[in-house]
Amino acid sequence: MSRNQKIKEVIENEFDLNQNLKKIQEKIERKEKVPTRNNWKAAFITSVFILTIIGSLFVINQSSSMKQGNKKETINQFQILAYVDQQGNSQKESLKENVKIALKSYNKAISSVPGYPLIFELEDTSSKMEVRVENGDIYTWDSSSGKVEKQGKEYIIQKSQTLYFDVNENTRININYHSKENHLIRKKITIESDDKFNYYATLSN
Amino acid sequence: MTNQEKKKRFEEIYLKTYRNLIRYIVCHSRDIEDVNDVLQETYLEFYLIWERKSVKEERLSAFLKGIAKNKIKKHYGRFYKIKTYSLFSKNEREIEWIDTISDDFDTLDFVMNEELAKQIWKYVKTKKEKAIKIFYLYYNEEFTIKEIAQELNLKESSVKSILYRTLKELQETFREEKNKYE
Repeated sequence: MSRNQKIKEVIENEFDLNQNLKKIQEKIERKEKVPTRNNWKAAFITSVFILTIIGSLFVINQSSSMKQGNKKETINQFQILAYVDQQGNSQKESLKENVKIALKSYNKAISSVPGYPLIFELEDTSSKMEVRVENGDIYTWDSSSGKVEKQGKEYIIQKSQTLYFDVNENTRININYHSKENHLIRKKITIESDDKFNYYATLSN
Repeated sequence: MTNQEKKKRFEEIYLKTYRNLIRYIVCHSRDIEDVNDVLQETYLEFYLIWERKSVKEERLSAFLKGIAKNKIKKHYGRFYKIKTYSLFSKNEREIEWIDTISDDFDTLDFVMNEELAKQIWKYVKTKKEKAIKIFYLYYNEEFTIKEIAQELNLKESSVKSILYRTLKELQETFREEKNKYE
């Protein structure tokens, strides 16, 4: 027995297949436009990742700048010069970090100077440098009066000055440089000799 | 599968499963007015996950019903239990009375006008949940009493009784009104 078609039509209209499909499609479109929770998560993780990379690059850059700054400070604020042999001529050469240089040959017995000369050049007069020597002695020499003074193991430099070192096979010179901003830079110079009594100096941290 | 292909495939599935799913939602919702919302939400979720889940063709309908079941629960709160009606009528007298109802009790044959049909459906929707569902299955799905009883997990006599009472009430309420719409 067929039921009342008018009632069936009314009910079918209420749950209309096409209208519902249209509404579902609209909802799908809205959903596809709006970022989902997962999309937000992905976006958040990506942002954190990018920020971490940028941050790391910034830190690396800063650290590199600081290192460069320190290096510059070392070079600009003071330098240590030693005498080297250059094709038979005696020349001054600045000591560079971790570079072993051959010093000009020196014979204590026949030399007019009291030891190996190292020239400490300070840029700023308000800075100072503490020099301490292990396995050796420090001397000063006034070239005009010819007066030699043994300073012992420790000496403080207030302005650019040449110090003379009575060195042995393994002499270490420790340097504490105090800048005018009161930054402390520590360096050391190691002096070594070989079998032929050639001496070498290396500046290091 | 491109987005266009996905949408086309979705439409095919929708047309294939729509009738079954809407019946399921009608039978399991507390309020007939919620059916369209639940249906749309069900298909929306289905659209978003079906590719990932790689649901087999023969499992599509069951899969959709599973989503719908969760949507209904969510819609009515976590503690809503999808109803299954008792198979047994407690009233012995009612059983005897039901037996006296003839099988051709469909007395809404006077409804020939769309406006009147709308009024009747509107009126039915104010009735109890069970009556609405039976009316829906009877007129929209054209189910027999036996089929309705199976669908709603009710005793046939209960279905017959509820339907009879509803139709009788409608007849009494709208028989006089029918002239207004003619």
